[in-house]
Amino acid sequence: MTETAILGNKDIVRETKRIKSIDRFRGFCVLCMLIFQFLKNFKNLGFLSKLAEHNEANGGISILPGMTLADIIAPAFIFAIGMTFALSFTKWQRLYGTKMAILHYFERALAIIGVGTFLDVCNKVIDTMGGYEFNVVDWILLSLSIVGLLALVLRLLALIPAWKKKLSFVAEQIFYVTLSCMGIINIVITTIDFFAWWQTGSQIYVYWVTLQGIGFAILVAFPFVKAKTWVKALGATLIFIAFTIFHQYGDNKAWLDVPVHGGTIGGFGWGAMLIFDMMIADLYFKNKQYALISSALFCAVGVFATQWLGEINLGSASPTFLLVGTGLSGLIFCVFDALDRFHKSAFDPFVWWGKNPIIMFLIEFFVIGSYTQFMPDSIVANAAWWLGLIQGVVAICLLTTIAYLLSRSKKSISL
Amino acid sequence: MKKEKNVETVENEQAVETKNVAEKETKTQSTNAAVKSERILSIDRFRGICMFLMVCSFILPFFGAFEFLEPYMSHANKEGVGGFQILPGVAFADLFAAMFIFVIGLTTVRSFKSREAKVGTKRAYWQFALRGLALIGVGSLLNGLEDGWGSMLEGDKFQDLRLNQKIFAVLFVVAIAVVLFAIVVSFIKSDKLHQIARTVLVYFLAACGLIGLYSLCVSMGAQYPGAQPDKFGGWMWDTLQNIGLAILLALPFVKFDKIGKLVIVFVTFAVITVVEQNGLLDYAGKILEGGLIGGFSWAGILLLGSVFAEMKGENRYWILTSLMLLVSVVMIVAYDVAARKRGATPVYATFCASVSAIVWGLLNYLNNWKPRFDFFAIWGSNPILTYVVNYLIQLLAGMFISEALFGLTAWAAVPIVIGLLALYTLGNWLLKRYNKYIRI
Repeated sequence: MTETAILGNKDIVRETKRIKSIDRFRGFCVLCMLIFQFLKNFKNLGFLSKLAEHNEANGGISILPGMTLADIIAPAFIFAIGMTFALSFTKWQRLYGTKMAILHYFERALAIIGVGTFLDVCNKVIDTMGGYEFNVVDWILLSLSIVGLLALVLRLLALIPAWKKKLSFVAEQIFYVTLSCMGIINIVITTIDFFAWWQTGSQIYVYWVTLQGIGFAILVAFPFVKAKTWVKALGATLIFIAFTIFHQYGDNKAWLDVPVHGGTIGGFGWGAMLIFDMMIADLYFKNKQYALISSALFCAVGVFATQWLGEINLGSASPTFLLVGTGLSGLIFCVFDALDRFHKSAFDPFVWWGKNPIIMFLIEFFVIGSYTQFMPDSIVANAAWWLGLIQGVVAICLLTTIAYLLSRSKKSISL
Repeated sequence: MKKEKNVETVENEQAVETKNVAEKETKTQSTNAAVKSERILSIDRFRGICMFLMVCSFILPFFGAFEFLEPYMSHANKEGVGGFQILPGVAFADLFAAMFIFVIGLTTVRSFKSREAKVGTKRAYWQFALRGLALIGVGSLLNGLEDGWGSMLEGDKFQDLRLNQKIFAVLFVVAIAVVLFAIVVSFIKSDKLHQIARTVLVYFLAACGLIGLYSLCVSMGAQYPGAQPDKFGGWMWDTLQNIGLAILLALPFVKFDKIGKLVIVFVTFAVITVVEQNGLLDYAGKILEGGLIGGFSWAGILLLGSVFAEMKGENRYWILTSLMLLVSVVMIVAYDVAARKRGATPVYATFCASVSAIVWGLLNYLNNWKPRFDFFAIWGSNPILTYVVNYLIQLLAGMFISEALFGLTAWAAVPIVIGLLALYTLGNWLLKRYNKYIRI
């Protein structure tokens, strides 16, 4: 679906124009995620190599008790989703009807988990070179990944003008259904993993990283997408309280710390965070200053609560992390929003980065990931600081160019 | 005929215009009056909450039955330990002194402007300075009663007292004479005599305040940088003196606009934070509320109160509140910047001012709710008198019946406390009803 086809009326054009700062903010998050991750490979880059470090003990840059600079990126990305979620859903609802919009967004959330699962499958394939043996679930997910890749190829072929539209639709459905299936399987096995760890002290499947956490949070927050602001506030608070009780009870915090971002159970905390973000978005669209006030209060309450609820911990999605993550992301966004009025130039790299985040993730994973994986240590891990810096600058320029080309292209493949 | 008609029309138009102007003026006056009464209501309620909690925190510790409340009524010590801690170094009870000064700040600008309109700028400054000094004076005289006469009742001789205790013990007797003179004069129907009695009382209190301030400066100088022999007489510094000093230090900036005040406050806070973090806190913490050093933070709270009063009803009110809360909490919790009431560190002041702003901001939403019996508004109507009466009751109870009170069971303690609070409420209600306000 082309962007110009969707943007048929003036209202939507105005909406898009209005949220330029959100695009810029999302782009900033994606750029930080990818570039920080890349720089992490160069051990001689000093503090630059520690930007992506989540652990203070390993040199992570601490900004608040228990929280490193890298910890804010994921909540900030979730915040960017929260800012546009309701707006984007309403757009779909207007264009294709409520049922289709619900189906699309439900599928989309599962597909995001599916993409994360696919990236994990790729990692496991690489692990087989080191002796890792596939289990049944790995084989099933690999098979589904292959089907998904074939569907992707078909979708790419659909970009050729002569291709029949009906086949394009079929390819798109196969792609979505495959990714959704992978998403559902991932949710089930990660939940099994959580209880397996509880019972036996070890996980079986281990398939949960950032994208899965984001997709699951969208699923949790989805019922509130059209809710009034106070319903969002109430819903998020209730989920947050329930999650906090679970998190603080017994050894649950330690259990939640094992899977990335707390696994599916932690996903409820991330979901609460996304609903809070959506609530702040509602306030933002009523009055920009409300977003600043609520974000500052969230952050203050989060830091204040560290005295009783413990440190800000990304790993277990601790309650204080959820509050501070929401508030701090909101504050950073407010800075972007405040700077928006000064931005007049068409040169807008953050907007380019923000337009195709999933594709940028995939490119980073395959291109940059392969580069750092297969290059000798003398070029990457043990490279002199200047050599690391050059590679970092080249990577930024290269990825920004790709982001620019993708954003310029009116045809895109999106989830 | 036509001319007459024209004249009539013009007259009619003028009459209509005059009527409109009159209506507009009446409308404006009533709007202003409404705004004024609305603002006073929320401020009175806030002040009442502070006074009520202060009185409770003075009375309840006398009764063993309320010992379980002790953590909520105890202040943190100069190391920041003690009481129910809501932030590292800040006990729950530490909030209320700052809140009270914040409330003073809420009315300061309005009060100064109205005084300025009546007597001119220079005289308004002079009267406010006198008010600040007089508060220090009242506090010092009460200390003269407690530390001077209290010690002598317990067996000390006059010559055993410290120099400033001697001075204020004597001045306390003179104060009684001055107050009695004012009371006697009040029965004589002469405005001139009333004016003279009032002037004598205010100037006397201000002179006592000046002596108290001098005493503070000498004591602080004598003890700097470390503990030295107490040559002059040690500290005589309490809540009222602190409020008076805050008014004096804030006074030069009272006519600044919002931005000017904020710049002054936060630059001062930044400087004090740096020096206190680098060793001055130990020294400032020796004296209640930080003495002269802490005075700058208390004055900052007062000025912040005046800024918030000017921002009432604006979004910027909540922006400033939330940002101040965030910055103070992050500095205290995440970066270990010392927060102490004792020493009045700027982060403590910022935190308390933001909490006060939240409370007052919420109370403002209740301004349209006007019950006939407005409990906290009643309690907030005569704060100085309530404070002085409470101080005297606390002093007398402490000297004569503290052991007996502490041994009472809950069945006996609860009715006594309720009775006492009811008496306070009744006293304040009667004074409010008959428009009797004790002000300096």
